[in-house]
Amino acid sequence: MARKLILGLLLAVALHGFLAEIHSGLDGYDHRHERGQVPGAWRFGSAQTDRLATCLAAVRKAVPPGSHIAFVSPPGPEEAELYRWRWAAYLLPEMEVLPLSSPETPQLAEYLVDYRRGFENPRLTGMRQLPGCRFFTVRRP
Amino acid sequence: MTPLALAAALGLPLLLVLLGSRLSGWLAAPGDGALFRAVLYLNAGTLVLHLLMMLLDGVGLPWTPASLLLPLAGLAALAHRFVPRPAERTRLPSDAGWGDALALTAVGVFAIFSVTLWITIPDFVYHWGIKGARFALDRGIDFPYLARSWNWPLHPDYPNLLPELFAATAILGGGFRAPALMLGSAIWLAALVIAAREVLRRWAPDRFVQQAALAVVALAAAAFGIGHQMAAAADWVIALALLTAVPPLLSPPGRETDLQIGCAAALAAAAKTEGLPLAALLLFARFLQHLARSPEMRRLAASALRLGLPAAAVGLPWLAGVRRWGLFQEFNQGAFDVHRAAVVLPALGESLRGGAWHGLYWGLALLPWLALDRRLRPLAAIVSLQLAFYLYVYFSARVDAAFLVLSSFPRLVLHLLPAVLVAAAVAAPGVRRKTRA
Repeated sequence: MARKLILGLLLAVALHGFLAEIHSGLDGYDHRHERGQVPGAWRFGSAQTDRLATCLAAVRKAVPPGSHIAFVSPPGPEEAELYRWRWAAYLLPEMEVLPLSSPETPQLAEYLVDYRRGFENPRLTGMRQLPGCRFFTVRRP
Repeated sequence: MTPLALAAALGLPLLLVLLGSRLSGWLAAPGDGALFRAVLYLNAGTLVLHLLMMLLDGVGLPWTPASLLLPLAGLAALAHRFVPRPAERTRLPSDAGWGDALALTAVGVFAIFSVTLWITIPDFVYHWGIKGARFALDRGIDFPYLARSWNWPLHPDYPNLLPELFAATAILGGGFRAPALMLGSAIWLAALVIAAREVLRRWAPDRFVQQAALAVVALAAAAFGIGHQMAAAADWVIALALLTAVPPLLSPPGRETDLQIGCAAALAAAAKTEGLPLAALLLFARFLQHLARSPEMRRLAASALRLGLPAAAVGLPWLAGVRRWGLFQEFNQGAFDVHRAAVVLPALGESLRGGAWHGLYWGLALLPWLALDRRLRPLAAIVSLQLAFYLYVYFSARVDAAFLVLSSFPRLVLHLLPAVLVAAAVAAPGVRRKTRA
């Protein structure tokens, strides 16, 4: 009897947890466009990732595969810039997406995507406004 | 998700099961149920594909549908010719109960959430997925890409099984479609549940315990997968590897069960770096079982070969690639620092209070009790030592220890908790009776 009671209790805990996660998951999914999250907590389908994907889809049309693209975005708490760069790299797997912080970026970058930062540099030319971001060609040093 | 991508995502695992089934004469032990055999075949087929992809890459042949499928077909034909058929045939289970229904529901709900991408693990974006996409574009393991100095967040030194599976699915499915790739996690979860069912069917004391424990394991794992964003995580593979090793660990040592453990160890080693110590522990535990039974050298050497060969076959090429391209990341190692306890222990406490497992975390506290059962002692030792390894990493890796604990500990528990819960059901007192396959 005690065995059935303990197992029944465990089952109730597991079932409650399962239903709670379904509820929480559905709630999050339903409100995915309203969620304001730091980049480290971005998910597919959220407004932030959709905006970035729209920008990078336009970048993809503008440059050939294999290009070296520097990606800059506003610094922020919880390594916001790092996580935005990782999303950009994921969304452009056919490119070499470099962070501004890499020592190799000044030598290698052929293009630069300025995602909402207002980045300025004398080597940047040919600015094009893309959906949600600015796109530059980088002059060779 | 295109129909072709869906067909590839579902068809590739089926193909791997069929391929693995050609090895049934070596893999299936007497008493193994039909569903569990399918899991063993999936494990073996996956390893064969992994080895093939590494081999093709090593000799410079690009991954294409033809270069992947034709050798697999050839290997299946060779195995059909040279591997003996198993003597005992089995039937699919005909005694499904309410626990099976709950488990099936849990897997189904997890699968639906997975394909929405809403519960995709962030690491899919940061490394697993991007590596898979890049490998699919490059038609091979893109080592130069992994070795770029700025690509350290890719964890370039991790084993490549998961990205290879993503790449193979993308190549066969006509492109990299993330929703289709998520189905792989649901398949790993289903395999995990089947392995749990096998242990419970054969060793749980009665039907109520079987059904209740199966439901608890499936619901807990699926809930964690949904709440903790575990679609496309490699951790499912490690959890599956450990649970797949439980039936052979509970069985007397033999040729088939040795190979089952060997394949489980290889799968763990191919999935993620955390799987490497688990692989070593599984192999060592089984070797000790052999040693206790018969210290005859010839028999021990044959067992060691059966056990170690699969893990060596996947581990050595990986190690060679890491060394050749200088992929090892320094932040993965460091000296053990006991002073980190001030950070690690509070973080562990916070993690335990975090609700990721809805209190079922505490199942790990059953380990000393499991060790009292002679049959479960090897498993209790393996899980305890694996847990000790995770703690060692927290006390030594050159990264923010608190962040590392909080971001990884609930996931690492997934590797171990399903096996511990199932073992606890086996250890439960009760009237033991035989059950049908």
